[in-house]
Amino acid sequence: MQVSVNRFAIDADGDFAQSFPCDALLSAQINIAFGDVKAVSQLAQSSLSEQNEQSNARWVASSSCLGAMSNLGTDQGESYLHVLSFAGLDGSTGVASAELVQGKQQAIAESTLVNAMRDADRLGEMPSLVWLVVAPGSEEAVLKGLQNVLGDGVPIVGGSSADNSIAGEWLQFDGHQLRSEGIVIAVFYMSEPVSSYFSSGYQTTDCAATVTAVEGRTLYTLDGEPAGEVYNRWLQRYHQPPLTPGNILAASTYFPLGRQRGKEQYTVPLLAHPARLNADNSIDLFATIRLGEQVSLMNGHAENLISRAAEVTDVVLRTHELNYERRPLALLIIFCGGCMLAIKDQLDEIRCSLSARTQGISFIVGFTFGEQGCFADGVSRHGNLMISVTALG
Amino acid sequence: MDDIEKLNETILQLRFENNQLQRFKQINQLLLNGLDAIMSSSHRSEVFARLFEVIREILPCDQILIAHYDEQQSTVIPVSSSDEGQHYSPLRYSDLTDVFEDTMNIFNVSLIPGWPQHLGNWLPEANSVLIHPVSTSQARYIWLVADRNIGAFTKQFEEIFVSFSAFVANTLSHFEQHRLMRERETLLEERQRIEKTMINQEKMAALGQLAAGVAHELNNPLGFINSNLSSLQDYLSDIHGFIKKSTQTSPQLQEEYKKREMDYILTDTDDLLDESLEGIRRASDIIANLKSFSHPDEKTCTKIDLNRVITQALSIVKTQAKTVVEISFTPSETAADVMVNANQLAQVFINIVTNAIQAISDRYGKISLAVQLQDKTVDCRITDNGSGIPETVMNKIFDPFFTTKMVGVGTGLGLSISKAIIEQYGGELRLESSNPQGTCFLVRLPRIND
Repeated sequence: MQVSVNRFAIDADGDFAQSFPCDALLSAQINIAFGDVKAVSQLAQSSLSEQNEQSNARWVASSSCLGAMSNLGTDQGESYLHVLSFAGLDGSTGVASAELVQGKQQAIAESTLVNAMRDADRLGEMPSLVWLVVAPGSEEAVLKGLQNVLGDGVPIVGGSSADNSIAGEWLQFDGHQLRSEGIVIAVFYMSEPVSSYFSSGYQTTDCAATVTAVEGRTLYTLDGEPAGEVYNRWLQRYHQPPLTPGNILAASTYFPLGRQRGKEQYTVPLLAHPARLNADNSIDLFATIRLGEQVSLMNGHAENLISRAAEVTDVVLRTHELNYERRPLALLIIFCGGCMLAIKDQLDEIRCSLSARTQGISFIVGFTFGEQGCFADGVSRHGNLMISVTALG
Repeated sequence: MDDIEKLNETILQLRFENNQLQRFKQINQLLLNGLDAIMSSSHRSEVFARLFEVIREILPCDQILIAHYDEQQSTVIPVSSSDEGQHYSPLRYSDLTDVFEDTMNIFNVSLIPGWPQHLGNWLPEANSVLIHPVSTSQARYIWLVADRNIGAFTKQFEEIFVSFSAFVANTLSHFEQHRLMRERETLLEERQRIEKTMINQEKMAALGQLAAGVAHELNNPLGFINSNLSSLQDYLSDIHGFIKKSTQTSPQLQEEYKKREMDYILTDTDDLLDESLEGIRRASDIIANLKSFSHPDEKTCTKIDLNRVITQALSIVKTQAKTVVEISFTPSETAADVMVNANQLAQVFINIVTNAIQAISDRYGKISLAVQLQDKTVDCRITDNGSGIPETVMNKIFDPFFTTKMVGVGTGLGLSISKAIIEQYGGELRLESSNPQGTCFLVRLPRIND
């Protein structure tokens, strides 16, 4: 297996500043790409070129909040496309995509996964990894669809596409079709090993309540009171100023809502990131909360957010080397966009710490508005404010 | 507070890493139990049955099957299954090449385009099937692990199972090689034994030729010595009468007769002649035996009841046994017909029983003979309660001229001639057992069925 990372700048006119695509992309079996909305949009336009039409490379691309990151650099608001290319895999890959239709997300996810397997010519066989790119809003239904087909036997890892301001401009691209409310699924069948870890920090506080009114991802009441009022009251206990209606993504990063998942022995906190406080005191979340379940206020700290990516990477590298006695060739990292916004000035510091840990291993990081990954109990779930690291090779 | 957050995160990381270590524990447990299963099982089907138990303890599944790939027939057939008693039909390998060539973790068989219908017959209730081919030094097998749940076998399950299968194949290969080495050693021993027998047979043939030659060359001189001595004995009788009459008529001759002790000389001359003639008779016996050894097939064979032959032989030999040895004979219930020369065969039993009598001369002996009918043979066991044959000479007792008797008592040809006679009839004569409590010989001859 050969792995390469390339980073392409987008100029002021929205075009690639240098020759695109390069040979590594054209000869790859699969390219996984992250960039800001402009970069992914430009990638889709260039795919219409004759060169790309003749290539057999499969693509899974997603827009990332304020650009992306790789071992080649951090964008921090500038427009770049980062592409991690895999060639010479001992096995095959398949990619499929679809537009998510309200109320049918689960069924669409099921059929898209089957199409991806068919594309890999391995329909019915257990893949080593399912890589997922999805528009924010229905990740739980999508995951349920995938698990209906596959069970819990394979890690499903990925992230929800993001833009720079929660304006709904996010994009997904499968090499042929550019979508904004879509799903792109890649399946990897390969003899090279895969390891993955999914983590968040945060401490459960003693502020807790029961969900008494919720619709979709809009939380109306907690213990019968308007959710915004309860949430602001909880923040005051931690000496935080009350939030006003509008985008609260950055302000709520250190105080998300959490609920326990997993069996008794393996309970894990699953986080929901408050994204917007509405005028009616309801809260829009980046994850779905069920009526009647108990939620707690969670509390995290900037220092831990900054160090987390490198620590999670350490865990994955350790287990990969322990299980397979080899260092991986590539790392796919999903980093919560909300977390990134809270510590965006330290992104270079984070990249340096990742480079120090990985020592030459190629990596790519997407900043997403929802994360999907496999928890310690072996079940893949959708969560917020998470980091996932997946090692391949 | 941030320390607690960090601590919680570390606990989750440790839990994850602990889960990863569990995989090694599972693999180690499987390998340990697998090795124990192989070591404690003597047959291939037993090995597989034990391995199924071992796998199911660690990796839950509904059904396990091991199929053997017959390269010559190009078929695959289950040789062992966790579902005992189920019948499986062989499948053509060419129909299943895509499925059986490499590890295949199928999470839902209904999604597999053209899922082989016949495999469905083998695994009727399976939705998930893990297929893994393994090769030992002697054979190629295919493992099929099945479960009714969709997506039952995780990648971790697959990795553990593949590691375990590789270990099992490797261990079975070692055992197969060990078994082959044992078989090779047995064949080498058999070859050495055959070579030794061939050398012995060549030696016997050469000895037979030598014996025939010696017998022929000695026969003539012994003949005229015997004839001359007999004539001399007659002459001496006349001389003896003449001297007696002469001395009666002449006192001078009588005086001379006494002076020369002619009485003693004449008596001793008679004794010397008798001894010489006895020597000639024994030499003739030896030559007759040598002839029998070298040409045992010179006499004609007829169908005869072995019980009758033994009865006749015993009537002769019992005169030697007198009252110190009790000889019993248990004939077969029906006729034990064999195709032999009756006189030659009687000689065999006389030889063996005579040896037995001599072996038990120092105690009250018992010799028993019993004839038993087998499907294709007639067996006679001759058992005595003598002092047994020393272990050091056991492998020499059938050699010509080998004897433990005093010089002049035995020629050392009895057993070798007996063996040659029995083998001439397509039978065998062997020492079945011997210890200080007694000896047992077996005479086995082809049975003539009407």
